[in-house]
Amino acid sequence: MHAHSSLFGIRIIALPSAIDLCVGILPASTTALRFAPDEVLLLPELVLGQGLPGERSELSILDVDPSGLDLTGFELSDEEGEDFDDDDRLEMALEILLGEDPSVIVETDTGMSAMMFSRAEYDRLIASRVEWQLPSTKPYLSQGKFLGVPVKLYATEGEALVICLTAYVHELAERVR
Amino acid sequence: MTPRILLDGTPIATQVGDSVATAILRKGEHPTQGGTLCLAGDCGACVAEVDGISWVRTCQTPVRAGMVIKRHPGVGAPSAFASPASGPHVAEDASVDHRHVDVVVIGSRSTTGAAEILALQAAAREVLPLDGKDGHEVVAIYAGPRVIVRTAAGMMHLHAHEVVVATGAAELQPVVPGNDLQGLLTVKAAEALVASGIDLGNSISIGPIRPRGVHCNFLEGTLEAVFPATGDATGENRRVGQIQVKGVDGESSMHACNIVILGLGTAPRDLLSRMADNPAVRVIGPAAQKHVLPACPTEGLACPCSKITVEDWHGAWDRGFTELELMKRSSLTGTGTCQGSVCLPHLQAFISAQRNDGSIDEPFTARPATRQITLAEASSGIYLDAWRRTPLHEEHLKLGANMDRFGGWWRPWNYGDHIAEYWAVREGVSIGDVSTLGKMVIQGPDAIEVLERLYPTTIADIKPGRSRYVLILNERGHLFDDGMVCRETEDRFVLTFTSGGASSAEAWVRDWVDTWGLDVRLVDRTHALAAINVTGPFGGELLQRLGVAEPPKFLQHRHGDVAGVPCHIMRLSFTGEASWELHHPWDRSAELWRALMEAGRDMGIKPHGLQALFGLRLEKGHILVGMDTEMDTTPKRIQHDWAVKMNKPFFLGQEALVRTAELPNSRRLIGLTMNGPAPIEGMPILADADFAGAVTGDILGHVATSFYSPLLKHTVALGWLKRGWSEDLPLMETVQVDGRVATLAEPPFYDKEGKRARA
Repeated sequence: MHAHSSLFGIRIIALPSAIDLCVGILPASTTALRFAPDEVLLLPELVLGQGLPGERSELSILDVDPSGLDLTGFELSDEEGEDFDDDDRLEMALEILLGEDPSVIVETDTGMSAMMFSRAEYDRLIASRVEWQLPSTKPYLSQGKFLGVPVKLYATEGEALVICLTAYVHELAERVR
Repeated sequence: MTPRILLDGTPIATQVGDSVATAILRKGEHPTQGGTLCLAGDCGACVAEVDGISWVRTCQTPVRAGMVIKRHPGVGAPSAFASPASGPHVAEDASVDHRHVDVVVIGSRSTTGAAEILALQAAAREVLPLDGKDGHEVVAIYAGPRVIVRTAAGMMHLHAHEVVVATGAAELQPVVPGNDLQGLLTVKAAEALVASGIDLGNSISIGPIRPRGVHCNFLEGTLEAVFPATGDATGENRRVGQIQVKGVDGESSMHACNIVILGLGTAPRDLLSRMADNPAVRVIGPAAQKHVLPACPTEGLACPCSKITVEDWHGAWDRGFTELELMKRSSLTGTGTCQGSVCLPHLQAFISAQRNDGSIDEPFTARPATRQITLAEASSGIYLDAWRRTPLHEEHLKLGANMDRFGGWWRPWNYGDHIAEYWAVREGVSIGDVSTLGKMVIQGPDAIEVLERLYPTTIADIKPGRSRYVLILNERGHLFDDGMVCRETEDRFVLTFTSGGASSAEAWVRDWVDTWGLDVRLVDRTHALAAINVTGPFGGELLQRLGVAEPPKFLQHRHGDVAGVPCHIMRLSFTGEASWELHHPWDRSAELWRALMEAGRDMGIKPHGLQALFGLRLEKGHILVGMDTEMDTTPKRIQHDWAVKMNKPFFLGQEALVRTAELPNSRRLIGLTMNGPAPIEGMPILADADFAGAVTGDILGHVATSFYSPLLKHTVALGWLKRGWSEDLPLMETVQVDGRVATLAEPPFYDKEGKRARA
């Protein structure tokens, strides 16, 4: 059975323009999967090439009052000109989001799981077995049914991440051979 | 050494390059009982069982050493089950190679196909050529278009922007008396056999098209009949002995021969194109052209696959089936192996002649597959529905749950003793896995406006921290789901839906929000949040033990930790007892479940499955949408008018409810009580006395759901009255169900005042 792992994510539903701003300043250690113009799933500790995250992250959703934010001239460095660390950047991204769209929904999401596939596995197990046409350039995020299970496929040049609801992951794992 | 194959148990030699049909003919045998052979894959005159697979076109099947060939019986069908000794190999991994291509050209080796490929390539199109000669058997074209191809390596599904069908033309076959004998060949079949080194013997060619390189006699005129060799009419060897030909002078004459070569003309080889009513499928060349129809047949086997004669066609015509599609359906012409490749031109000619007006009906549709394929091949790439598991799946299994599928999920039906589970709810405490419930968050300045339009219930007066039961109606005022609305803040609500209806309800909400263009954000939390229902008289105490100092009161909700797990705690009741739903992160569900089980151990806590839950809710008269309701159930028919505020400015279904309120109504969900065991759901409800609308024994409706109540010690049920009653009539007092008297009773059957749920 192909190994799978739960994902710890932050699901954001907001105005597309707000998500554009937020995604633009995310730290490199956070993967942003844009499922829809108004929806993005942030995976704070997922960096492809380093395997799936092991321990569950204890990252919490920020409790920010957007009315107190002054986003004009917001810069991603502190007064000494040092870059903010990853946690700071993620926090700022969420603050910007809240400022841009006061109705934003930000929820932690532990209901998704993922399988990692190497490039060889991608070619052998995925590329010819999905019904929908895969984008020709990587990285890409695409979705459809893989082996009869609804999935989202995030592929880079090196590897691919098949993401599905944890409710389906056992079924998918049994079908991947 | 040339490969040998087994033909009906007898080894026969073959030559390199032979098809199975060629090998059989080389042996002097016929692949079937008889009939004209085309050896081009068009007809069904050479089909046999090959390695356990019936109806295989042997002319398209290359020989392979050790093949087992069995000819089909002359009467009846071959066995539906393959011989174990020669059964087809079914690949363990029946996956499909999906390819996305620009243009597929089918018949790439035909003159037309090859020219088309050059033209497409000159236009910088990416072309995938397919031809049977290259091992590509195209078995179907589906919408998309999607082209299904069988290859030696397995099945391919080609997703193309455009499909070009250049399959050419098929040779006409004769419809005359005796055309089911052995020894009839089309011109190309004769040429192919001679090219394979087979001596055709005493052969006669007839018709305007003559074979090349075949030593035979040529006759001018029209074939009128074929006769077997003398004495063979009823024997096993039904070979051609002589033919009757009408000469150009109009005189008939007899000619001895044992092979007849027919060069009668051509018809479009359009089987694939007749599958594809799609602008992206282009048919070119002879496959697309109008061909000259043969003369109207007067006698003989017209549809060899289905054994339909010209006499059968006359019978169908005389009964009024005077169109091509009707003739096909009434006589089954064209429904056999070749799907009209042989009979269609003759049938068109027949109909045209009967009408005598020059009209020619368009060809009928062809169906996949064009070739015999195995179930493994047909189903390759097809997967069973995936069933979801809740995060408590393993916990249920550890507790001995009998799992079953409901609403797209694996759910515990019981844990071995649903009655014990029932009593745990009624008298102690129990927990149930309700992670499958639909859950959605809606937030934004227009949230109230959206919900007021979606639900027939008033939403604006729900205070933060309170919740309300709601129905969901479609535009026709018919109930399609129900659930709860929980208000969290001024502009944020949590919505719940039934497990089976969650997906539809989510799509429904999103669709209307988009349609109205209102300013809200929506997120489906169904698969991000698990949920456990804590229910029973000691449920509150159990929660207190796990850190909830003051559990929410009835229809209240709030966020808080339970055993350290962050939960949205909702107080409601489906079981009829005090109940709290704990919605919590998916990944912490097992932790919470175990904590609840451990904390309730000295209370005798038991988990309950759906079997107990269905009975518990039925005692309270709570409906299950989909089980107790039908596609056209209105709130009035289930006595849920209280959940509909008709004086609202607008809600979905309101107009329909106003309109239908004026119409007579004869349907009503009723409650029933009766002695003895619960009747089977679906059992008819009969009138047990004459009354205004019915007489004794009339079927009035049916039982929707039923349950023998351990507490009440009788059966309770919900059922539908559909006949013999209308709103202007009083309800009858009793009916008959399962040969017993059932008394009508207004639900709930248990705790009518609802004191226990509010306790």
